[in-house]
Amino acid sequence: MFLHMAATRILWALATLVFTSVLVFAATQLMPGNVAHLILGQFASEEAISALQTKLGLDRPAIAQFFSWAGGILQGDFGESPRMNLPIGPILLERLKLSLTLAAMSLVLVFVIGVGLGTLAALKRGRPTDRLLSSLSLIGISMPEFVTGSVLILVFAGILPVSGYASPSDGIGRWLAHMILPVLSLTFIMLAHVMRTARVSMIEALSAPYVRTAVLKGMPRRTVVFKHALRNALLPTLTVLGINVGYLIGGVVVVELVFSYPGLGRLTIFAVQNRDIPLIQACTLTMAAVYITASFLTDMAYLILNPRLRTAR
Amino acid sequence: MTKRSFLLHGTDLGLLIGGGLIILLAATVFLAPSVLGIDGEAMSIDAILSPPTADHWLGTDQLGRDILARTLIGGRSTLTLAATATLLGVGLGALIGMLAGYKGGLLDELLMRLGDAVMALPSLILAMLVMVAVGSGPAAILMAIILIFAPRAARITRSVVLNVVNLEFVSAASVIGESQASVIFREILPNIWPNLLVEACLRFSYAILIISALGYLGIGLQPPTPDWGLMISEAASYVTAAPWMLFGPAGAIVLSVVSVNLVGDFLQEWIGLRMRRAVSHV
Amino acid sequence: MSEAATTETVLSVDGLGITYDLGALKIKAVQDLSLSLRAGEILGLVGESGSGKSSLGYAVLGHLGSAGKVSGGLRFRGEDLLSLSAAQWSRLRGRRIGMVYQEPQTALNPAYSVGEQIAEGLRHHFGLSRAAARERAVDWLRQVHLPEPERIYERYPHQLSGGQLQRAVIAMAFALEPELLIMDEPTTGLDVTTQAVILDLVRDLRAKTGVAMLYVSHDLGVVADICDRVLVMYRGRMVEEGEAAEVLRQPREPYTQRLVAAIPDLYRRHSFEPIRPEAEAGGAEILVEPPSERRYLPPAATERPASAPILDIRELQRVYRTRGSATVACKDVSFDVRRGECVALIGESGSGKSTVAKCVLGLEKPDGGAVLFDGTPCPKGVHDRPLSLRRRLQIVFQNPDGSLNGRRTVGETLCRPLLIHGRARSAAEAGVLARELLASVDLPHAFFERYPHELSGGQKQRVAIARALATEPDLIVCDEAVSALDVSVQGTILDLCRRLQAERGLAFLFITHDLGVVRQIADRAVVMLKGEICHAGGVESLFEDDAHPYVKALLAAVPGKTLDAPPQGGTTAQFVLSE
Repeated sequence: MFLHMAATRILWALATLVFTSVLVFAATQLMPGNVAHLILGQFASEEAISALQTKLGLDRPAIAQFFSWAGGILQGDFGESPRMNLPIGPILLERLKLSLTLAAMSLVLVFVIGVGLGTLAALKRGRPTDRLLSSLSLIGISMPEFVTGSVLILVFAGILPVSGYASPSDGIGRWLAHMILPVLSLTFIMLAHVMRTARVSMIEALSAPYVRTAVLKGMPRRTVVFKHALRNALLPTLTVLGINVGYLIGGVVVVELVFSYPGLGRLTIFAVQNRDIPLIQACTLTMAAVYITASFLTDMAYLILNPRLRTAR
Repeated sequence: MTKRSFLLHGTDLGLLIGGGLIILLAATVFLAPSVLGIDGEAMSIDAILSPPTADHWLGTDQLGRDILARTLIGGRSTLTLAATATLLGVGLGALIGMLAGYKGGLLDELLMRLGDAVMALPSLILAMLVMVAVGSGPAAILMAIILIFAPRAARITRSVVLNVVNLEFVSAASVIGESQASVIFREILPNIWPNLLVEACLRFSYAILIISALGYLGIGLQPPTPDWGLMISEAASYVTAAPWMLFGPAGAIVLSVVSVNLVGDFLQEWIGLRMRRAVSHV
Repeated sequence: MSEAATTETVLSVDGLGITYDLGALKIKAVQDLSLSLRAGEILGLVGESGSGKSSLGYAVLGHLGSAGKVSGGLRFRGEDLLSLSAAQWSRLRGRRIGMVYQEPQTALNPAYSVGEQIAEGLRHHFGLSRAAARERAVDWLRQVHLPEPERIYERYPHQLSGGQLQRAVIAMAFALEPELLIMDEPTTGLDVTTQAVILDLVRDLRAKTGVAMLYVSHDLGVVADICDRVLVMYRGRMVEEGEAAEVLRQPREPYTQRLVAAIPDLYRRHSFEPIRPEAEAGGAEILVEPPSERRYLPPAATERPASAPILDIRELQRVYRTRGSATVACKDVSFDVRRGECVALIGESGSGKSTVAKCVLGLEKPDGGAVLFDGTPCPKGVHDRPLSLRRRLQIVFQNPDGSLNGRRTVGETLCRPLLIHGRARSAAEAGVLARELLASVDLPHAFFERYPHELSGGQKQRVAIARALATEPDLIVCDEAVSALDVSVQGTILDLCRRLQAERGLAFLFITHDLGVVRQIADRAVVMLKGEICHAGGVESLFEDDAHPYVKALLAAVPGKTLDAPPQGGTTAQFVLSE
């Protein structure tokens, strides 16, 4: 049963990836102009453009173009960026690493603090602690990253670096200093989401009959809260965390722009603003692949944590 | 419920504050500019990057434009666009969700799988792709948000419908002779609309966030249209020299989203009466 | 208190009051209740819903929630339970006072194995090592007769049946060797055959351990079977107390007498006196007038004049297919219902009886066989059937809370079928007819404006019957229509059905698990076992010696037979379906 479900999830993830690549390709096909126009500029002659189109295979039907594009990606070849005159693959990999670092740090922080605060609020339900946390989280979910980021820059300008990136090889301290503000901006809004879910799930778990059973069995409060209630409250929280990865990817794009962080997001915005078709395709597809992978991992974690799905009847 | 407990309950207070703020905000944004004859694109040479003064309550920007005027005018497009997109997106999703949940079977599987596939793209990336394909502008933003909202609304509607569709009164309605359309719209819909309202509320605040994020990234509404996100990205270049440029649009975003969320929170608690009654055993 | 008294009396309750303070609303759940419980004794606490019986159980464990306030005296082994600290409570709970819950499915944590949930208590209270706790937990699983205890130990709650789960919960309670056990409706919701096995188990364990039990139940039959003494409660107050057999055979108080009279009799048909008409209409007082003697009715006619069947089910088959597996819900089911006749379809959970009902109504589509109504084959799906056919075939469901749309008034609910089938041409005309319908199910006209949540369970069920009557059907399918109701309300609904059958010549297909109900209402009986019919015939045939062994087992498992007639033969264990 577990293997069956895991296999289904893998197949589904692959199918989604294929569908997504079609969507990405179709969207860029709808753009006015094509790579030949990009390379030759707007003053090129009709003949020159059609000659280059023939050379690049752009006069072939869209389906044929899709297969040669997708075939290239399967072999690790993302093509060449006409704007930068560089092969896309290596740049993409470099930028992806930086973005993933940013995202992973935020996600861990969000999960740990979010679940902790949510549990605290649920245990103190209706009391000042809960009210304070709930009010803060309400403001939290209402502050988009570029607002949080801009305010953070305003406050910390001169104290912490507010733009750019330093490699860990230049010193861990310098690297961390550059990470702090971007990570904080990303954390704030998601933290509020995760905390609210954790609070509601925990309140629900604490009122469940099985928690009553544990209490009336004489189990200590610590065991009741952390072993019996929290374990069950984690499942919905995990789902929300998985959904938030999709949000996080959008947030990463914004935050990279706010702090001039040289990640995949900034590269994507560069590509869109310059209408660099191959780069747009590569960037969006990569981000979709990251999200699909993350959703897959969340699903698997859910399967492993939930005995209802793990074991057969 | 007595009057006393109505006033004392935290979330009811939230509804009053949130609802009041939304009405106030909408009234200001839609009425004030025409009543006061405000112009968001008028530049004044002698007041470039002016801090807040009696003439310019929230200061001016790098072209000498009044921040308050631009914030108000920007609110019009953002709120109109967000409301329209939410209505259409959640409405379409609700229709699909009800159909899928009630009919079940192959149609259900097909609709939901399609929705899953669209949802596999992070929403901002999906919006970007739409912008890339059809160009930026209000219509493109509308389309992007509908595309983001409809599958989610469909999934949520479907799950609520599934909770209701197996209840005995739905079967009983079929047995006494109601048609399938009557069963969906007379029996099921009245039992799920509160959930749809909550979804619409949450989505409305998210729509405001997406629209301003697109503006901030420079791929949403284009200058010189006053747009909250766009204004913040302009303010970012002058953040140390003229921090007031930030406060107008940022305040507007946070205020509108907070008030919508307050109402949403109230609705959520209101339909989840179970939660209010949930008594902790610890 | 003397040494002897403290060891003898386990629990003493003295003038106990329990009040729930819900802000504006104060509910007196229990008033002036006194009782005492000796070691090794089982005291039955009987009452209908809202009688305050469960509140007492939770008060003994100090778990009423912040809204619950207790007054009076509550002593356990001489120790005042009302002045215990949190630390004292946690040493007492589970270890010295245990509890067995209604709905074992929700009482166990879905995230941990059944064994772990037993072992953690052993580790905590007895300081056992992991291995020792595991060994003892497995031993307890064996003592409650669970097969392959080592494997059950590793199982998660969702992998076990209701009966198995309740045994695990019982093992969990007994493993901590308590001196007092609160049993809160432990067999409610279980099949009768499973219930009989659980009751046997509880009796055995009591004999082995000498534990005292407070057995809370709404079911007089169960209480008669297992308890030494009985305390009857009504609206928070004690009505009567005494030896179990005595109270149930010769009840002194009118309320108890009526309660006993309302139990469907397995051996004879009788009329039901309404127990508390005022209570149903919103009053609160116990009836004090003496009850009339049970009036016995002539047995049902087993052979009615041979009329054409109104409903004819032929070789019905339904298979549920999920990924990779197929479950046969019903197979080769054939029987008929004649005009004006009441046929009972009997079976336990999983027998396929509800599937048959749904196929008859077209709410589920059968995979094979046919449903003929008045000689004409019915299309499979309800929406494929012509309105003229749908009019003649109606249903009343089990769950009174789910069967009415909570967002419509009773009037709106009743007017719809009248308008759909053209019995009324205008809303005003429908309103008049709907009020007549209300009257025909003994509900006042004022109910027209009410919403379902303002009605009691029995009243909702009457509205559901009125809705079914609105189309002037020939046959009404009742799917466990009385099993969610208190016994007194159940009786009046059964009476209503009998009256409608007699007055209007209505045919009923009465789906139930309760043989007492069958005896009261049915002309013929069809018994289903694991998706197939194992017995069919007149109601009398159920009690004959050559009945199918499963029928005998069902009869043997009916609790409270001691009340009326000598028990019948038959063994229960081999037919426990759900395990």
